[in-house]
Order: sequence, then C-alpha cells, then structure tokens
Amino acid sequence: MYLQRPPTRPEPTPDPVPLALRAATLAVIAAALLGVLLFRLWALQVLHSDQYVAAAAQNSVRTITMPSPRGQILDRDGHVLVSNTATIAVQVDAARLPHGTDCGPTIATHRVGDQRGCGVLKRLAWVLDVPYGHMWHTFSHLARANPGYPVTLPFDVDRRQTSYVLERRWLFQGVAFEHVYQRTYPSLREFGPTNPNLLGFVGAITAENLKDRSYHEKLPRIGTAGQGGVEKTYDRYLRGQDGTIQETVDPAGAPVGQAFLTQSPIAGDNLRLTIDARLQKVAQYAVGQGIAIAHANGEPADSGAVVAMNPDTGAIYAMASSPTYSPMVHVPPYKGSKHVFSKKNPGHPAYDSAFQGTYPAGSTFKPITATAAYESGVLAPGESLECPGTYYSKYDTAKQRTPFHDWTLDDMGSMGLAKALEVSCDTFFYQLGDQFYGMGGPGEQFQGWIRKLGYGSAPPLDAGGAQAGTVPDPKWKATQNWQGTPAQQEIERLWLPGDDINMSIGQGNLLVSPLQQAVAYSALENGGKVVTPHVGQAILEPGSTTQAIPGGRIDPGPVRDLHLPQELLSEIKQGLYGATHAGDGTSTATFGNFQPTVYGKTGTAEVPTTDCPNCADAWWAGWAEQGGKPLVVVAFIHDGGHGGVSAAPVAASIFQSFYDPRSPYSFHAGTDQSR
Amino acid sequence: MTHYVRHLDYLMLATALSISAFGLWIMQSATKNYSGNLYGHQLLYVAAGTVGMLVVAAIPPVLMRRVRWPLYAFVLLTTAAVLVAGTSVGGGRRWINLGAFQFQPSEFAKLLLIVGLASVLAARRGITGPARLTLLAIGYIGLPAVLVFKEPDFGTMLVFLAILLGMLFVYGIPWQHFVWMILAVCVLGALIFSILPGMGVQVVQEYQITRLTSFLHPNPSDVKSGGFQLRQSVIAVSHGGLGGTGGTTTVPGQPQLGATQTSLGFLPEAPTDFVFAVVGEERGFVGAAWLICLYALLLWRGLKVITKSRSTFGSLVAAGVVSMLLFQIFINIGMTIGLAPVTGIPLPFMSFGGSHTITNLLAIGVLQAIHVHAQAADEPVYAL
Repeated sequence: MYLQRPPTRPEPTPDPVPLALRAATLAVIAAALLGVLLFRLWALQVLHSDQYVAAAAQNSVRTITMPSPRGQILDRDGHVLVSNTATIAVQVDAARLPHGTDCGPTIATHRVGDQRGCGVLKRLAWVLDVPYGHMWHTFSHLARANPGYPVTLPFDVDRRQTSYVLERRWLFQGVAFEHVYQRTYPSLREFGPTNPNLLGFVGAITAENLKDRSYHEKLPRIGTAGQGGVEKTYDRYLRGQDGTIQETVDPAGAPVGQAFLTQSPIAGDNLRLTIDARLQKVAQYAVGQGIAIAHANGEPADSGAVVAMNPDTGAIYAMASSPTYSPMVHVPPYKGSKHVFSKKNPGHPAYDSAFQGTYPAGSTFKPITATAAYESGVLAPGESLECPGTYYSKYDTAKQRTPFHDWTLDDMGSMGLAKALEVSCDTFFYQLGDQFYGMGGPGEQFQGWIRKLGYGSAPPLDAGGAQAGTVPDPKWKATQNWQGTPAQQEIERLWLPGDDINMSIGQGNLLVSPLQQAVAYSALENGGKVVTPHVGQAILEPGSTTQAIPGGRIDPGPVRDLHLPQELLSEIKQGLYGATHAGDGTSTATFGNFQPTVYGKTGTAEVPTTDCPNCADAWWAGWAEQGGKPLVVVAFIHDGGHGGVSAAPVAASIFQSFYDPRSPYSFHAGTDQSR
Repeated sequence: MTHYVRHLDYLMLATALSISAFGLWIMQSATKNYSGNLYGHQLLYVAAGTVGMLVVAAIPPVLMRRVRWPLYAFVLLTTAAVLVAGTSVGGGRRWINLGAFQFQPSEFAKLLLIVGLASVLAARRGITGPARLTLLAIGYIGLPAVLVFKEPDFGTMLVFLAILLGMLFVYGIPWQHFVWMILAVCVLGALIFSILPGMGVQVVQEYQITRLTSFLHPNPSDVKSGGFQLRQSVIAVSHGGLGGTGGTTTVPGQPQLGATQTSLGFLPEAPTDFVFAVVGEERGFVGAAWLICLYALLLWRGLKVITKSRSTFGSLVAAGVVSMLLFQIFINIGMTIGLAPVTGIPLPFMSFGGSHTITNLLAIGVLQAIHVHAQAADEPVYAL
C-alpha cells in the first residue's frame, strides 16, 4: 500500500483511490467498535437489566431488621412459662473494627490511645464490666460462627453504659447497640424451672443451624433461633416475622433522608404445651424427694426423673429431671451457665434423665417380656410356670451350668403371669427368655416385640433429643467393641442364653429411657396403641392464650396400634394390681391404701460398678385412672436402690397431685426387697 | 471570509456542539454530589472551546505546518514541566497550575502532536525511505509518550499510540511495519509488566496494574479497586434499562427513586471518567445509543475530511483526529460497561474537564480548517 512515488517537488497529491480505501478501512473499524459498544449496551440494559436493577436497589437502600417478639410458651392452663422482654444488646461488627482484631486475649488495658480493634474490645469490656479475656473469647467464637456478620455480644447492657459508649463513638468504632427481645421465664418464681431441657432456649443462629433441616424453613443468616427443646421444634411458629426498615444510604453508609417502615414486625404464634406447670413443679419436687429417700437409705443416688403422661394420647403432663437448673442460664448475663454446663458438674443437669438418659429397666420390664412371650406364643393364656430359686438354661451345655438366681432363694412354686408380676418372680421370666433363645433364628421375636413397643428407637418426642437406648440382639452383640483379651471379646460377641434370660427381667445390655417406659406402659394401659409422646398441644394465634391457628392443634396419632389381646392385658393389670395391693406386692406400702387404684410395677435394676458394687437403679412404672382421666407415671432414681423404696413414693405424689391436688402428699420411703 | 463561511462543515460543527450540549445536560445531575459549580465551569470550557474552534478553523493549514518544530518543542517542554512542577490529583501528576486554572499539557499534546506529525510526514514524503520514516514517526510520538507515561498517565500514552497507528495507517506505511510494531509493543509490555518488576524495577505503579486488569477479574468487594468502580458503573448502566430512570425523583414516604446510583454517589467519578454510566442510568439504552450515533456521525464527518483533503497533511491530521476520538470513545465507554480496562481516559465532549474539552473542540476546529482549505494541495515545505 506504500505509495511508491518518485520524490518530486512540489509534492503530488496522494493517489485518491488507496487513500479512500484506507479511510474506508478506518471507517469499518470505527463502525465495528461502536457496534460492539451498542451490542454490549443492549445486553446490559435491555436483556439483563433485571438482575442489575436489584443490585442497584441493594446498593442504595439499606434494610434494617426490626426484631419481632417471639411467641410465648404457655402451659396447658395458660400459665405463661416463657415470654419476652425488650432489651438492648451490644453489637460488634468485626469488619468495621479499626485495624483488624488479631491481637488475642491479652491482659486488659483500655488505654484511650490504643486504637486497634482489640483496643475497642478492651474499652468495651471495661465499660460493660466484663473480663477482657471472656469478652475476647466470646467475640471471636461468635465471629467465627457467622463470619462477615456483626456479632451480638451476650452481655447485659444498661442505659448508662450505652450512653457512655455513644458519647464516645470515636473510641468505639464498630460498636453498635440494637434493640432485641430476650426470653424471660415469668412463672419461674411460682413454679420453678419447667424442665429447661424440654423447653430449650433461644440463641444466635449458628452455621450448623443453617444446615439443620429440622427447622423446616430457611433461617436468616443473622438473628436468633430456638436451640433445642420445643423452642427449636416449633421455631417456625414461635419466631414470627421480623419487620424491616429501609433507608437510602450513600456509599459511606450514612443515611440520606428519612427511614421508612416497609414491613411491620409480625409477632410469633404462641405455643401451648400439654405440660401442667403445677404438676411439673410437684414432679420436680418429688424427684428431689425420691433422691433424698435414697440418700437416707445410704444409696448414692445422684439423679432421677419422672414422666407423667396421658396414656391415650401421649400428651406429657409433666416430665422432670433432677438435678435441674434455671433457664436463666440461657439469658444474658448467663449467670451460672458455666457451672450448669460444666463437664465436672456431677449431676449433668443439661443431660435430661427422663428422655436423654438410658438405663437398664429392671423388673419394670417384666410386663414387656410377658407381652412379647404372649404374642409370640411362648406363654399361653393362663399358663402357669414354676418359680424356683435358681434357674438353669435348657440350652446351657457347659459342664458347670450358669445359675440364674431369683431375688429370693425360696422356691415359690407354680404361678401364673399375674402372680409372677405381683411377687416379681425372676425365674418365671427367665424361662420365657430361655424359650426365646431356643426359638433363635432370624425372627428374633423377643426383640421384635420389644421394638414394637417403642424401645430401641428414639421416641418421636417433639422436644427433640430423645435417645434410642439399646435393645441388644445377636447382630448388635457381634458388632460391639468389647473390652478384655481377644478370647474374652470373642465370647462377648456371642449371643448366649444368658442374654435373653437377662433381658427378660430388663437387665443385661438392655437400655431404656423413662420416656420409652411411659410409652410402653401406655400401650399396656390403652390396649396396644404405641402413642407419640408430645409436649406441644396447640399453636395459638399471636397474643392469644386460647385461640389456635387453623390446623394448629398438635394431636399426633399413635405410632402404631398393636391390638394387644384383652386376656393378656387383664392378666398384666391383675399382676400390677397385686404388685401395688397384695401383701407380697413390691409397692403395697405406698399404694395399698391409695385412692384412686394404682396399677404399677417396681424395678430394681442392678448396675454394679467397681465404685458401687451393690448399686441399683430404682424404677416404678404404672398407671391409675379416675373420672376418665388416665395417667401413666414412670419414676426413676439413678442409683436409688429398691424401686419400691425410693421410686414408688415419687410416682405416688404425682398421682396424688393429679387426682387430688388439694391434699399434699407426705413422702415416706416404701418397703421393697425384690428387684 | 465568505470562503470560510461557505466551506465550513456545518454537520460536523452541529454534531460536536450537540454532543457538548448533551454533555452539559448530563453534567447537571452527574455533579450532584460534588461541591463547587462544576456545571458552570464546564459551560465555560465548552464556550471557550467553541470560540477557539471557530478561530482555529480560520487558520490556513499551511500556517500550521510551518510551526511543527516549535509546536513539538512546546509539547516536550510542557509535558516535562509537569514532571518537575506539576500538581498531582489522585495518584497522577498531570496538571500545571497557572494560578486561576490548572492545565493538563498532555491533553493539548494530543492535538499538537497530530498536527506536528502530520506535517513531518507530509514534508518527508518521498524524501525519506519508508523504514526510516516509520522510525521517525515512532520517535516523534515516542518521546512525549514516555514523558506522559512517567507522570504516570497510562491512558494518554495509549491515546498517543492510537494516534500514531491511525496516522501511519492512513499515510500508508508497509504493512510489515505494523507487524514489527506489534511485536515491539509485546516485548515492551513484557518488559514493563513482568520482566523489570521481576528484577525489582517498578516501572508501573501497583494501582495502575490492578486498574488495568480488574476488568478481567473484578473484585467488587474492594471499594478502592478498579473492580469496584467497574461493578458500580455496570450496575448504574444496567439500572437505566431501555428508557432510563430519568433524573432523581423523591416520592414522599418512599426511599429515593430514579438514578440512585448516580445521585447517591455509588457511581465513582461520575462527572469525569464514568460520565457515560450517568447517561446509561438516567437516559437508558435509548439515550446511550443516541449518543453513540452522534459520535458515529462525527467520526464519519472526520473520515470524510481524510478523503476530501487534497493535501497529505490534511488527510493525516484528519486521520489523527479521527483515531484519537475513536480510541477515546471506545476505551471510555468500553470501560464503563466492562469491555475495556479502567484507564483514566475521558469521554470526548462529555467528561468534565477544561483541557480535554477545549482540546477536542480545537481538534474539530483543525478539521474544519482542513475542510475549508480542502482544495489546497500540499505546498512545498522543505524538510529540516
């Protein structure tokens, strides 16, 4: 394209054709570049405009959350167990702290000149009167749990402290105060703590919460949610809907003009529980008394539980675990929480004995064995068996056979099921267990019926966290890590006659929770319905104590109906009547003259340890019925000795309070030598 | 005088003034968050530029050719003076303070170099061999380009290079020379951005590299980075949609509506580098496309001058002006909508700023002068 013209002067004009061609090329380039710009603009402004419009709105409008008051939790009579109080919380935004926060939990100084992030935290700790190390750990823990979001510190703040900080904003960069609702427990004074493990608590939403599907809804990234108990289960009703305030801001975040309430906060629904706060108080006291009786008898009892349940519906009226603690440990300033949740605290109050603890059932399991035997054809209706002092397994082929002793060495002769329950004859049930062993095979009828009655799987309690316990079977035994030498381990992995024999009286590797016991005894009382234990009764309109929301009645049907035969149930009932009324009954001392008539079984589950070779868990399980109001009660005292001595009075006081609230129950130890 | 009035390109004149007026209109809302009467200043610049344009249009191109070396000396002196005694704004030392106003030599240098290079090339035509001529042109632009780069003003340096390429292309140097130049640019780029920093010689400031590369991998979270500017700008443009948001409106009981990105200050550098984003947000695709069409019209008139001029000098000046405008338009709008790196190149006739507004209007004036004297052939000017 170079113009190869000889140099002449004056210069000739450029050849118009190639010049025009080059100009045209330039024009094409220009047109192409401008065309690219137009296409891109079309794509941005017309095709994909929506997503950027949202981004623009987000850019300039700041949304401030207005917390909604959480729903109240009421007992069945409308007593407010859990409510809210509006308060101020201190919030620290790690992103806005000056110069980062990586200065660690060093000794507290709060020099004004220290402008680093930890300087702010140190000054804040000083203002709030919190040890700086504690402040640092709390802050860094929460900041890590939800990175990128402001952290609401769990410290008490009063007006004086907020104004101190706000008057010195430049020293507290990144610190803000927000209005929050805190849980309060209005009936704490009147009824004492209403099983905090059951109620749960409200805490900051954590990363784990966000992944947790049991909330049934998407939690906001920041805020609070029920953590455990009914607070968690019914969180989606209780939480309400936070309101929003929108204000236009400039890039520095400073508001421009007025703020507008774009959505009013909607209060959460109230929750009415099946719990009877008055009965719960009695139950809590009673467990304490049961432990005291055990102590008086020289037993090392440390914890206990009682479950009082409607056997027809599974509605729990009271469920107490002792020792317990004040729910105020979950509310700022978290007074006492360190002690309550300390692993060194011997009672482990946060570990609920009623539905989280699992223990050997002892003799309270005998009606279950009887049911399994009856349904499997091992025990015929009305059949009598011998009750010797010692039983040897028919399947024990060893030269020296293992003796299985009754709790007494006397031979009590031939007896039916009712009598066997009344006197709590162990050898009667050993024979049933031995026969189950003989049936063997994959059927495992014994375990099958035990599981059908609700053992070995977590009861679907709506407070969550119920434990499954253990129903041992050959497969379970073979897969456990047993202690001892390899030879001993080999033996331990085998399923032996003793396993079925021990399980027949609720010993061996069987572990059950008091709540599971209540479910199983309910089935014996109601004809075979395995109920769904629950504490939620109804979701109520916000602010209402009676008006349920549409579909808000919580009425879970039974898990399954076993349709247990009437002759079996009446035989068992007769046996349980004998156990509480006959001269040789195990809790006659407590229930012999009790109104209304109580049917129940004691249990004394041997749990020998090296520290306590004669220790036994005390159980009592049974029911009463009066005026169309049936009640199943399961009482349990860990290391409480004989069931008839320490557990039966606990149950008795519940019955007394339930059926005749006016006259108080006077505690005295029962008499019981069985196991 | 009659010749002058009769032969002005009125369409080009009208287009340039329309764009300037459009710019002033946009400036009213774009400067909302800025203190001082920026709109008034810009109005003054446009007025001064328009007068200057009409005056320059009356100067015969022959006169312009004669002062090529004084012009060149002026360019070198002023750009060098900036390095010694300049005032810096936002990381770049680009201005000379002349008491009442500041002046940016590198902006004027664009036009002066176009005129200078055009006359050098026209004078050497047929005298100097093609390779030497190309090298001469590169040296002629290269020296001030290095000075500008030292300011540092990477954007203006790129404009210089665009002018050089456009003029050499229209002049008609052998195509192999372009290949060599591209290779040289690659080697130079590697040296500046990778090899020399690796040896510990920092030629380019860190912020420049991040600004240049951020359009490839935006990091919107860093408020100070080019990625943030880019993101905000793209949001603003898209927020406009088809018809634009219009100016800012405030409805009682509602958060602020309308061109929120611009009016609330989310759009950085709204009156200067990102003025096109304001057009995009407030006037939408319709307004933006209208502006681009005006630019296309202006460029077309400039290209017409290339072919219409009977002198090599005239064609080359027109080619230089067209290349300068096209490059600045494309890079600035491209930067606003995420197609080009964030470099501080203003949008001709639109962005706020005295030096470049006046320079661009004067450049139109030079085109007009060539248009007026299009019939004049190259007069013999002896090479130095």
